[in-house]
Amino acid sequence: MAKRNHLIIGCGPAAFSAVQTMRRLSSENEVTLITREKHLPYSLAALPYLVSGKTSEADLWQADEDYLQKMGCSLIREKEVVEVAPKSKQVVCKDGERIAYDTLLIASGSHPSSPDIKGLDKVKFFSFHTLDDCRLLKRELEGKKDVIIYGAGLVATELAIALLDAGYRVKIVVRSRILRRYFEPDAGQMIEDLFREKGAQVYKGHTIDEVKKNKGKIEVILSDGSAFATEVLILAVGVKPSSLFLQGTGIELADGAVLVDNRMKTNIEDIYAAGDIAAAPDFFAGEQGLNAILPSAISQGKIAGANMVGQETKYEGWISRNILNFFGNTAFSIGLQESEGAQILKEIGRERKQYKKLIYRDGNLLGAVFINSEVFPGVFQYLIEKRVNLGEYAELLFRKPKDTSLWLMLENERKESLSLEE
Amino acid sequence: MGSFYDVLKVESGKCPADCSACEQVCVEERTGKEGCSGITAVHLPEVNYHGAAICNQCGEPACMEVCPVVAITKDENDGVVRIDEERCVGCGICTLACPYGGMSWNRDKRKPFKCDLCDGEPKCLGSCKYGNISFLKSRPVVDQLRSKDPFSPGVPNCIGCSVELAMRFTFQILPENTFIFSTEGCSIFLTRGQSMRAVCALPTYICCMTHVASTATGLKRYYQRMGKEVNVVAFVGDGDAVDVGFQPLSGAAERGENIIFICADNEGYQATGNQRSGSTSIFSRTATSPVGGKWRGKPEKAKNLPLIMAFHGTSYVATATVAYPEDYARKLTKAMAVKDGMSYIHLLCPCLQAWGFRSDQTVEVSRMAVETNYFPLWEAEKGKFRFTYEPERPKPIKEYAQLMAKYRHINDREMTYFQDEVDSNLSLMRSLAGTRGVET
Repeated sequence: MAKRNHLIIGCGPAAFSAVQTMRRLSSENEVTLITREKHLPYSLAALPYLVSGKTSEADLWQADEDYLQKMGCSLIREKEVVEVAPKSKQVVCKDGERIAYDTLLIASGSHPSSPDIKGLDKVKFFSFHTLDDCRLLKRELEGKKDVIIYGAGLVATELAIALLDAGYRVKIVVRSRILRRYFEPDAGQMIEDLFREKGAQVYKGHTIDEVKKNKGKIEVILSDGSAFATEVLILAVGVKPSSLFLQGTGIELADGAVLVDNRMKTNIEDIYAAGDIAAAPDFFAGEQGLNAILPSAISQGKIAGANMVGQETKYEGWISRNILNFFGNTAFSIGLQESEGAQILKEIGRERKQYKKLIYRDGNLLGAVFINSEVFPGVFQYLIEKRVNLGEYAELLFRKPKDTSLWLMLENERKESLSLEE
Repeated sequence: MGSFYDVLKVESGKCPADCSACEQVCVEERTGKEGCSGITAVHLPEVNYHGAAICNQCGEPACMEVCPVVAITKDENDGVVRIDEERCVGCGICTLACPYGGMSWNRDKRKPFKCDLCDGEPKCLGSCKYGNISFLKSRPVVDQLRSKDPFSPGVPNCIGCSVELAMRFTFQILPENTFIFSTEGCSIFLTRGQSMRAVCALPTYICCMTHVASTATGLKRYYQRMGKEVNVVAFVGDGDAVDVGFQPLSGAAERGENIIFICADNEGYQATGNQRSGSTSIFSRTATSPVGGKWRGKPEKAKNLPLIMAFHGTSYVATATVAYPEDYARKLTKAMAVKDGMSYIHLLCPCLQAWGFRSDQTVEVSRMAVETNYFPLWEAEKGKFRFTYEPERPKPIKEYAQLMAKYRHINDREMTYFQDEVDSNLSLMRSLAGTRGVET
């Protein structure tokens, strides 16, 4: 049988995890990655640490030329795909080149959404999504002190931590509150307090209505009329799937995201999608939705890679999760924040800045939130994903989360290894 | 063939309530920080669970896959998953990715910390007084594998079959210029397959049970005459070696034919429904030595065929089980080196169907046979006897007997008799081995 040709749009974590999976399954098919960027593959999650100086560009690359060669894949850089033609099984690039594929993986990721702010075209502002953004920002930050970050999602929060670690005076303006998707108001408040302790000023429930130049600085006017000046303005109000080039191709989209089934396949045969662009089924309800986080990109890439080389593999569905290590604190959240008919155990230790919460239904864990609690976060993911029944031990899990979660995991592992034999 | 690495095995759930020695040692030796160790003691008195969690050194480490700065790698040589502390930025995504509690958090350094097997000398190993941590070194075994597994997948043997395990292992150690002689019995399922389809990549000859040794002799002599170096290996069951095929085996041993004769002893005619053989142990319940009425299982003791073979003046005789693969591999290599006579290896192959134990207990039963001295591991090179392994603290035969259904009827008096039998067999072996101790 002739070698098949797998084309991958993008070279982020989802794309790369697909390639690694194909090779792990001993596929010798041709693999080509095509990216808008001029750089080698890197992970967006590492960029804030470039700002704080905890890593350097030399350590950034997920793969160098040697590694790409070892993996037997070619990387086409600085080439933008502007159209997909499923009928002729080709993609069309901006420069007019057409590249054929047998199977296509769309892993083109996302791009920052641009907020509607008056006067934005007259001032210098930064976004934070690519290495080039990061380089520009770093250059701008030299010799400056005051930074405003608009937005408090994952990227914005990580960036704020990096800037605070590096000694900048940071103001965070957020339309709702910090990490709204991952932490409910009281947990979010605790995280916010820890940010304030570190010197951050947080303006929540505000939008930036207007920006203008003022004596070499940028004046920012909030929705309540208050105004202050800053040296650097960073906009990080969220990301949107980079799917403009897919419109009108017949590939089914919803709010810009590519709809995929539990094999990461789109509505069109031989076209797959994974990562920040894919609306994949979620774990609890099987409803298609975006989950633009690194671990989901990796697992979706794996599923897509396996199915593309003909190894039918099904996705268990994504579980929302996030971990934040900041100023010596750890906050992590996994799963659902609330659910109908679910029981919730919650305890807030304000003095010691501790927070714990479990949510479960019919003995199945649905979600957990811990701040400054000594637990192994991944074990809670295990308990949810494997649907380990807590039985009568939900309260024990709440009271002694570390030991109980490990016990439930170890016992389940033991039972699983036995049941393989039954 | 995949990669084989040394494994730090932690038997969780069997620890005493007040012991966290493994964790303490790791903290002292490695991080100096309370609560940050590569192994985590788990104490949950509410459910009476005491154990430990540790990194599995996964084949596809989830921690490695998510690391945004490639600070986590899996070493191709020793299989250890390591964190490059310099490269690590302390984002902690790995702690969220690892489902097994293998990724600790060092609050001082604000970075993750994990088990790296102390670069081959795990400190926690010596700290456990209860034998719950063991360091299983696969390298000495794997290094002896010379050939590819000659048997195709999907052989019809029972899941957990010790004969299958033994054969796959045996014929990966023997080089490719090997001929297999097998006969009716469980080994035939591998060499010839069901419905006569060949499933073995090595040349195989199936003989009648009555003349395996003499037929193998003929082929070996042919190649000797042609000046060609080949291994002729008979791999048969105990019914063949101990009972119906004994005469030609004895003759071949007497003549000193240069063949390797391996007896996979599952103590009975198991492929045909568990009839007793001359190798079936006393008290064993079989189809022809039942339990009930005046019957208490097999009334006779088993023949000790390896000893009988040794007293033929056979060049090399050894006993082995798959529970001690290093030991077996070494013996097989010695058997191959013999050029001036016959080699005989007696392999204990517990049969899960006939003996009555769970399919995941094959290796455990094999090991317990040795640990109770029911089946001592020894070898005899030209009449010189030597133990190759001696259990440090031998267990009573009761612990072996309890593992399976075929001894379930044994009463206390019989158990005492059984123990006496084991003891007297052992002292016979001791008198033969003299002062020659365990060779390590």
